[in-house]
Amino acid sequence: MAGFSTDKDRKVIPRWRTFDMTLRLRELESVTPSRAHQQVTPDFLAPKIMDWLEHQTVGHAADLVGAALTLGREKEVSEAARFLLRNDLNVSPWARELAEHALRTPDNTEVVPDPQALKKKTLHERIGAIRNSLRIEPKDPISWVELSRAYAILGLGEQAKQSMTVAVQLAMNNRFVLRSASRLWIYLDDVEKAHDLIVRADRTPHDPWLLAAEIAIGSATGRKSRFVKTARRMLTERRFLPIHISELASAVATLELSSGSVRRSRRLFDLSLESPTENSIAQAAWASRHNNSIHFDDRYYIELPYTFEARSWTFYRQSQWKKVIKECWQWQSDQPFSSRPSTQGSYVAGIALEDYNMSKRFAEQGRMANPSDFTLCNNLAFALINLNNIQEGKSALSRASRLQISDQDRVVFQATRGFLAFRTGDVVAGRRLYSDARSKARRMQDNRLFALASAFQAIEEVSQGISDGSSVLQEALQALRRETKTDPILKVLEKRLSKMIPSHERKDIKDR
Amino acid sequence: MAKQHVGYAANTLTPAEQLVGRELPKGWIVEESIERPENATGGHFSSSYIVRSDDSGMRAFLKAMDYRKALESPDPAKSLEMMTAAYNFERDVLEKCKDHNLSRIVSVLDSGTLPPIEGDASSVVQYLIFELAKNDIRSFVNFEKAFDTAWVLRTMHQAVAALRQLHSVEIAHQDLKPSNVLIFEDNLSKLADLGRASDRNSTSPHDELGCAGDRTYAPPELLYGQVSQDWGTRRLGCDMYLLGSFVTFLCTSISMTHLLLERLNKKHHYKNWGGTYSDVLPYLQHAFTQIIRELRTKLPSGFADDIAELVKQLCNPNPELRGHPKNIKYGNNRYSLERYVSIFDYLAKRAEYSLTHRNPIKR
Repeated sequence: MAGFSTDKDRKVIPRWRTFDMTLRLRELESVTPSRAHQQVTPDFLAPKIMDWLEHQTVGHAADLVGAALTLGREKEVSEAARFLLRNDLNVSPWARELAEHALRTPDNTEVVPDPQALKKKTLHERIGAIRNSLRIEPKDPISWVELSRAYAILGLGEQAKQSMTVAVQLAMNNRFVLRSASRLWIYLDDVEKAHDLIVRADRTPHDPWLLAAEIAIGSATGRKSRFVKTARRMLTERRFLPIHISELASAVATLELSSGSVRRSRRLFDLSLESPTENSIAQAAWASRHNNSIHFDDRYYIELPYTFEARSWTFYRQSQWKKVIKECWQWQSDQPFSSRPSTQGSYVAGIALEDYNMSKRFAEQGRMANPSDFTLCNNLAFALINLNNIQEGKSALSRASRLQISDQDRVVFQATRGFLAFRTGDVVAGRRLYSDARSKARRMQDNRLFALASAFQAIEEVSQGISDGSSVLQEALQALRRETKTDPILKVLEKRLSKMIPSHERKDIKDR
Repeated sequence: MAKQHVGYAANTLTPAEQLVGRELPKGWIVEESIERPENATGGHFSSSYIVRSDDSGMRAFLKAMDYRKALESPDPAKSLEMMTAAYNFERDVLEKCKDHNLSRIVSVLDSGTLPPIEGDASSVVQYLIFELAKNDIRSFVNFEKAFDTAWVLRTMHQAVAALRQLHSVEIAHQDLKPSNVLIFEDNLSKLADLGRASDRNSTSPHDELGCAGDRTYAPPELLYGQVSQDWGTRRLGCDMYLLGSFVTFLCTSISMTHLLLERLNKKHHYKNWGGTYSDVLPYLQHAFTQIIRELRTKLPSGFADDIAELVKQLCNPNPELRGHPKNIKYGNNRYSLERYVSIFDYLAKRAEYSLTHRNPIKR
């Protein structure tokens, strides 16, 4: 049986993307407005324009275009820029780039994450290039963060940690470095260290992005936030643009929600959505799934860039499984060291679509960064067994058995073992293991898990012709019907099971 | 370079604009005017001319301060005060350079004051006469043909030597840019325009400005408003950066500040940045790393590594990391240019040697 993410808890933990992508998504802008416009300076461009008009050489053109770029007056030098792009001139690559830059119009198209970037070969090449760069200039904290990220995606935690440590030493108050570092420590299961890092930074009380991270990570550790009063004041004063306080409002809203202050939480979620980040959209969507008082109109927000997580959940609720898969791939490419997108993807592919190759691909991709994740290991085993690759399925399951698991995982594990037993012809063991899974689920009062375990046992019993399975089928169907509201994927299983009922019995069930 | 003045009708010309044909003391005759846009010299009104010595026939460059225009400005008293201070300062600094025989600095040949026309005190004209160059470096670097490594390196060496001469008398130039590097006979380059300089031993008119020289070449820390109180860090650190930026210009046709700002996200451009310099520094450092990497890969292989390393030391966006590593390591003056004079001289000689031995370094 495939395992799933619980979706019970979610915090606005900082996202960790490439530097370029983080820039694009406006996370690295200064929160205070620039004072440069207040400075009165002489017209430095005029003499350069005259010189260019008089001499018309590459040197004068390049000098003028560069100066215009410095002054933010590129539009005034388009003629010189076009001159630098003439094919009959031997212009340096730097001058050509500069000219192209000066003539470029802003590009607002959404750039989707590149799945190629997750390939091992690509990652190793990237690591090589960054290391070369760092050999030339080792005091570049951004490159150290990028290196750490590439290592993290490959599951090389120790190397990721070392690189990030250097980045933090070089720029211990930089927003990109601190948020990325905190996300890395969380990935490495050291949430306390992630929190300490943010708490100790001098910049945190003054930066809404870092405050948001402090509150979110603090609540994940169970610690009380040190800056929650500062955060509330910042949100009330509204000194910053809505984009800068979006995640902060979302983090405080989540705190309020967990303490039962639904009204305040709702107001803060509304504030977080004024000019939202992808993360605060996902958070508001999550809150609305768990509390009807939180309004979230996903029709508008899911159109915004990078809202893969929110979109995948929206499509999940709408049972649009192929769309869920598409969004999960994007989400996975965006957050490659997170296990949640691949868990969701392998679960939906394995259960709703019965596309076991796809399920296997998700599980394998997710395991690259999270080799110790039980659910991914289990879902890989489930996919492999379904693909009749029993040996590999067995070894995946055996790896899963060595991992630390929760009560929910225990139920899933027993069910998958039962599934393997059925497929290897050991019906007695299969029934025993499924039965164990179901009783564990019942003890936990987890009806969804119970319904899933029952459904999978019934499928095996009937499809293998071991029994007509009518009693097992009916019990499973009843369990599924009780839970279809909580998880739409159960509806798929319900339909599948209904088709397995012999026709004479189908009428009987209907009558009942 | 020379161009006849066509901008003003005869009756609107100021006294400083009406010098063509006039004979100045010591036998200088004003031959033609050079057109410069208004406000081109950073707020100081001046007119430029070509003059000729009646005795020797030597031609020279004349810069005349235009006090009449200052009087027409919104704050005449302040403009006049600033212009006078700027003129006196530049003249004194140039005299100091002359006294110390700073051969790499464009020499002042003469200076003086033309008496006012009777009844019009504002018609006084003060002037400075400089040796006349062939042109500035931008007209000489032939970016369109094969890279002349030996010439480029020798020009770099001459610029470092000029700056070191100035630093040796505790003057920081603060406005080293391609248009201020002038080329004379025999390809000799000299550093011009000390109007924005800072003399450690006297007050300079632009000392109060965060960015004394041309803002479009300024080191990033000054663009972002981080002004050190230490004379060395602020003035010599600025010169060191501008030197590295000039080296970059000679290699790429683009100055370092332009390259940095091009690679920086628009939101991190100093015009849009409201945070501190230390906040934006990691992003500048990242852009800087990319540039250094490109220099190593795209410049002619024979000297790419050397140039990239030198630019890295001279132009680091963090002024605390600027300078020769040995100077930094042993606690010497980090902004000292002594070592660089030798390094650039060695590189130039190496390139000249390979040129004479028909083994040119190709791009």
